[in-house]
Order: sequence, then structure tokens, then C-alpha cells
Amino acid sequence: MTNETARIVEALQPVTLNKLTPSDRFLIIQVEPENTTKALKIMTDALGIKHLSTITGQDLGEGVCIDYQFAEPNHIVAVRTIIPKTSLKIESGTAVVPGAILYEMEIHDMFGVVFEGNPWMDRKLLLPDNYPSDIPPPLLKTTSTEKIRRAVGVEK
Amino acid sequence: MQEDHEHDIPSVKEASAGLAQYSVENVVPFGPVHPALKEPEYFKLIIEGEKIVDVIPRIGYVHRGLEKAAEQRQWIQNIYMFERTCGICSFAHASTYVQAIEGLMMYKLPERAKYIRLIIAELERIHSHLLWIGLMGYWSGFETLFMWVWKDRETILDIEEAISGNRVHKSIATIEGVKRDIPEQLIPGFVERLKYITSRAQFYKEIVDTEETLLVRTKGAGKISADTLVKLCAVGPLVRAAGLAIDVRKDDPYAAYGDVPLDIVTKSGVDIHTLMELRLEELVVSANMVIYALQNLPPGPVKIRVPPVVPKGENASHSEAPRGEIFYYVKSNGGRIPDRVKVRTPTLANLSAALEMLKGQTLADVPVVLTGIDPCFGCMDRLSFANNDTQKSWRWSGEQLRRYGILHYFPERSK
Repeated sequence: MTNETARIVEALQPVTLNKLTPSDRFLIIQVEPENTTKALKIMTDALGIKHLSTITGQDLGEGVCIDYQFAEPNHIVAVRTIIPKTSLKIESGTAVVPGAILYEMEIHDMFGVVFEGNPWMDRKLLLPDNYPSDIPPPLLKTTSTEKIRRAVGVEK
Repeated sequence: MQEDHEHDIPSVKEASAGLAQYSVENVVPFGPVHPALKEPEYFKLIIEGEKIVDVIPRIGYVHRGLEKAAEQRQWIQNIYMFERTCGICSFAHASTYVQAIEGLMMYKLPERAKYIRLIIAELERIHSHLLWIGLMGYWSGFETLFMWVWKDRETILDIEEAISGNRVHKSIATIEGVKRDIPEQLIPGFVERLKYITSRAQFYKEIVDTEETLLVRTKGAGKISADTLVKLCAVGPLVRAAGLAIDVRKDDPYAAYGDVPLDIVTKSGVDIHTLMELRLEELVVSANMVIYALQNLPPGPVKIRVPPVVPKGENASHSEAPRGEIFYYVKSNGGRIPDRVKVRTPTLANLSAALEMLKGQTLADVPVVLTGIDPCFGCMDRLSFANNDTQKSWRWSGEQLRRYGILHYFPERSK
């Protein structure tokens, strides 16, 4: 671990649930969903890491995993949180990182996660207007491609 | 007619999202089909007189669901699919995707392959920047510049064709290497053509700095501060024009970027004029990098044969495409098919900044300022209506709009 990553790990220690280092260039810090905004604040204010590259969502079966991926010289740091599918809600990070607004809308479209506090949660960003509300969001593993194609009228 | 359709359309609530506080005559729908947009994208421009006070975006008209499709294709097949994310920076997508995979494999990329990747990436930057300069000329009413620049851009496309066999979708990146080598006998010709491009860039620089048509349209248009850009997580030439030396090629060197001399060009404030200057200077730096790399090409193989399965794990990778940072995240379960691939293109990162840049501009400046971020989007929406008295808004589909048009001119057909 380099000095720089050690500094990040130390600063995020109070909120850390789990630490993963898939490679020496990629660091993942997992936090509780309610601590996400706190962790983002530590990243931007205390550590001065302000460039949020993107937010990645993935379907883990019982929950949806959300990674806030920050790019730093020589490595990428992700703040990870897993929220249960029973309540797909999380506090929005836009108050801390204003640039997160469109990425959060993307996760909202693709996984159905509601970011409370994001001013644009009332509209779609990427999905077609005729995407039916009774079909689960497209990037969940349970939603098949055929289902999506039928729903938006590409296939009968 | 409006009462009939108000209940037919499911997305009435969405169509009016964000519009409640504005009156109807202040909303100008811009796009998705508009002469100033080469690709579909829709903006609701809220104007006061001629001035834009707010912008509400709607994207996704050419969203094809690549991330979902990637989960059903093999790792190798996905290279060629992700290459088609963009018709300009195709190699940037393919190479960032394979870099992410290479992070999960335990091989060492051959030196020659690293150099060839740099060469292709920089050639792509040159032709993408040239394309943009041409478009800027076009939108500011200086079509001759557009024709000159696009003719010169062909020189670069010819080099790419000579190396890879294709002008745009080069399909040259592959896991742990590149698919084609650069024949030694072609190198002197490439160097000559790149020197020609460098001299042309100097000529264009002169034009950009002196030509009245361009100066009037571009100086002072689309201003934005460095602080705002950092807050909105903007990337690429936009942040460098604001004076921040942020570039993945320098911050997190990949391919052969650690070995080849690189000057980061920065400017002291963003407006469309400095963006033009910056891109012209960057293009010269790129041409010099390609010349250096061609002349110092290390010998050896260009590719290692690897099995089609990727070890279990997850990795993220980013690189500097012509428009800014491209980001890929991949997750493997150890099989032939990825579990998850995430793509973030530079235009999405710069969109929030573009909305900021539009505020305070006049309606006539929209094409110039929007093109300023070098956008790369896609299209197809419907008309939005708002009724000031009832505070309601609704949409018409293409068919409804067509019917309305016919009935307007031929009312007798309604029977």
C-alpha cells in the first residue's frame, strides 16, 4: 500500500465496514448506507479528493451495490455501499459532490434506487418515456433482455 | 384536442418536471431534432427575453443498452461492441476496456504494443480535435474553415487506415496487445504527413486568433469558472482551459505515456475561443508524440496469446480520450462472460458543466456553446406543451403531431 492509499484508509477508518484492495491501483472502502454521505464528505473535504469519476451500480442478488468511484493520481478509490432490495433508498450525495447529479439519475433509471435529496429524481434520464412502470429496472439481473425489448415495443 | 390526449400519455408528470415555476412563453424546446445538433439531445431552455436563465436536459435518445448487452457476450466480443460506443474516439473505448481486463490478468503487456496503443490514441485525438475545430467554424458561420480542416483530417484518417485497415472503427485493441503491427517502411511517410498537420495547425491558430467572424462568436461565449468545473467533476480540455493541469495521461500513465514526452497545455480561463486555441495546441503536442513514438518504436511482439476466460475479480480503469476521461469498471466471475461492465463517457461528465455554461448566454449562442464541450450524444423525443393558466403540461407523440398538422391545414379531414 502506498502512502497515499494509507492516508485514505486512515481517514475513512471511522466509517469503514470493510476494505478491499483488488489491485494496488484500485481501493474499495465499504461503508454502511447511512454513512455514505459522511464518507463522501471525508473524501472531498478532509482528503481533498474532489473528482468523482462516476457512480457504478450492480445487482448483487439480495442488494444493489453502489460504488462512488473517485479518480486520483495513480489509483482509483471507490466508496462502496450495499442497500437491500427491500428498500432501495439512499441519501443523495449531490449536497457534497454536485457533479453526482446525473450519475445518480442513471442509477435511478437502471436500478430503481431513489436518491433522497436529488432534485431531479422526478424524471428519467436515459430510459425511454414509454418504459413501463410495471417492468423492473433494466440492469437488474432478473430483468431479461427479451422482457425489455417487448416492453419498449422493439419485439412482439 | 389537448383535453383528449392529456390522459393518453403516461409521462405527463415527467414532461412537466422542473417547469412548474416558469411560464409557458419562457420555455423554448431545443432538440432533439435540431439543425444545430448532429446527434439527438433535448434541452428545455428557459429564457428571459433573449437570455437563457435555466436549462433542463433530457438524454438517452440513442441509449442502446450496451451495459446490459455486455453481460450476454464474451469478453473478446465486447471489445468490438464497446468500440462502437463512439464513432470518433472508438479506440479510447476499446483500449480502456481491455486495460481494465488486463488489470485482472497477470501478464506483462509487450513494449511495442504499448507504443502502438499510444500512437493510435494520439492519432485519434488529432482527428477528433480537427473535427471539432471544423464544426466550430461551421456553427460560427465560417464554413471555409470547416472545409479546410476536414480535408486535413483525412490525412490522419489515411494514416489510421494504413495501420489498421479502417478509418474509424480500427478494431486494433485486443486483450494483452494490439492486433496489427506498424510496418517499418510506412513510418517515414507518416512522419511527413504529421509534420504537414503541425504546419496546418499553426495556420489555423493564426486564423482563430485574427479572423473577425470567429472572434465575435467565440470570445467571451460559454464562460465558466475553474471552481465550478471542479465541483461538477468536469473532465478533459474543458478543465485544462480553466488552468487546471488535469490529464489522465500524466496523472495515471497507461500504455507508453510514461516514456514519451508529454506537455500538458493549459489556458487561463474558459470560453469558446480559449477552447479552440487549446485544442489546436494539444493537437500539435499529440502530433509530436506520435512522431517520437514512431521513431522510437521498440522491437518485439505486439501481442500475447491469452485464454478467453478472465480471472475472478473486479477492476476499474480510466484513460484520456479526446473529450476527457473515459472510465470503465469490469467485474468477472471467472468465466467467459463479464458479470458487470460500466462505462462512463466524457460527455456525461461534462454535461452538467455545459448546462452551467449555457446560463446567461443568448439563444443564438446555444449551438456554439453546446458544441464547445465537444458533445457526443444521440436523439428522438416529442414536443412538450405547457399551459400557463392551468399549470399543466403534456406531450404529443409523432403521430399526434402529424395528425394535428394535417387537421390544421385540412380541417375537413377530421370527419
